[in-house]
Amino acid sequence: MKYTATVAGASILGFVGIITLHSSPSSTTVAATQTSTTHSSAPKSTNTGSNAAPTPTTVALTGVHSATGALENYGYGELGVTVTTNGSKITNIAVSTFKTIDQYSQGLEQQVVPILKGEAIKAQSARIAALTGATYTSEAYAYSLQSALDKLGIK
Amino acid sequence: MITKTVPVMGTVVSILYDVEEGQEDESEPAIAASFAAASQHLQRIDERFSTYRHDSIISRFRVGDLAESPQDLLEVIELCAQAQQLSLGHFDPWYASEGFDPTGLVKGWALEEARIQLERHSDIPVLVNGGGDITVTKGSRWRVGIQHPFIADSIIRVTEATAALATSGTYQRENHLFSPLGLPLQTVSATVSSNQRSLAIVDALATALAVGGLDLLPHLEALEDLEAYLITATGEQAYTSNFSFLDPT
Repeated sequence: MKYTATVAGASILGFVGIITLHSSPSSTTVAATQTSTTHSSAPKSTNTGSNAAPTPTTVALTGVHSATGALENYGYGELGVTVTTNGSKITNIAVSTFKTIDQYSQGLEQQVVPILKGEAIKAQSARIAALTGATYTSEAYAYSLQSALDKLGIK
Repeated sequence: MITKTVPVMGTVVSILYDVEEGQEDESEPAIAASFAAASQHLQRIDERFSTYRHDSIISRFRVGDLAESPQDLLEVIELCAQAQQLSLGHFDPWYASEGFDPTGLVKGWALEEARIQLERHSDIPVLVNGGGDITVTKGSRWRVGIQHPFIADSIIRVTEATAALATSGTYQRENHLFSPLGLPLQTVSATVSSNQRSLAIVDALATALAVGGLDLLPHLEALEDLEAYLITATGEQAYTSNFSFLDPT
């Protein structure tokens, strides 16, 4: 069943960009719908009697539930996702925690940030066509979402 | 400038068309055709090379389920071997116990292939940006900001893209980015640029530099046609002698 969960995770990953760029409710719905579709087409974990191979215990899902996934470090800070479900359908996904290193005051960053802060250029003023950078956010989002789904027993 | 985006490979790929003002309407059919071709190409590569999909050719190859390796897979394997050699083993898709994992190169390769598709369908100079990995029409020049590693919405330097440009960063989650040579991670951000080479190689070398850091930089300095810039975990900035900075140093 771990495999099924991974497929759902990959599908979510593919839509993170939409959410990041346009955080409107309709975009979130697109992601949620896509996830549900993948989920329902995936093999279901059912207990079909004592001869069946052991399957992981899943929580019976009825009504509205929500869970917050583990905080994931995405390289520049932490990100956490809260997912709300109705039955086995995901009805909402929200970024509940989003901390950048700016908000950190401990450890190495305390020494490094001031050194590099003097170098910061506001992107808007630099007349650039594009931005190059390490992208962690989408994967941190997927991991946090996956752990929220795990808490709800959705495979 | 006309921008189109396509969500694929866990990110959003932006395609910028350098269209002169007043030429937008005239360019529209060529842009639509080239964008459709490039999007389809990206989706197809994502389907074939995603390690998240159990039925992708890469997943089947990993479990020994392919009787014959298709041409595109052979091409990726060949590029991986080149990148491994150029990076002195700091990029190693054969390292993981789960089997061959070309993920660090495939995104760059897919973007490069998409740019070739775009150029097949139109003469308009383009920039293709997939989550900070950039390939542009050869001969065109684009101002590109290097994202500040610690300050959101800020850039630390301005450089230019003339063919391929990629940035990789260390991720504090174990097993996401690690050194195949067992080195501690000391680099926060690593940018590699080339005005000749494929983004496939440049993308893989950015990953290699993020783990190889200051140890790998002198080797990149010695290689033709590759420039690099990195920020260490202690806030030090280091770069090869011909790395192009457009902001005042």
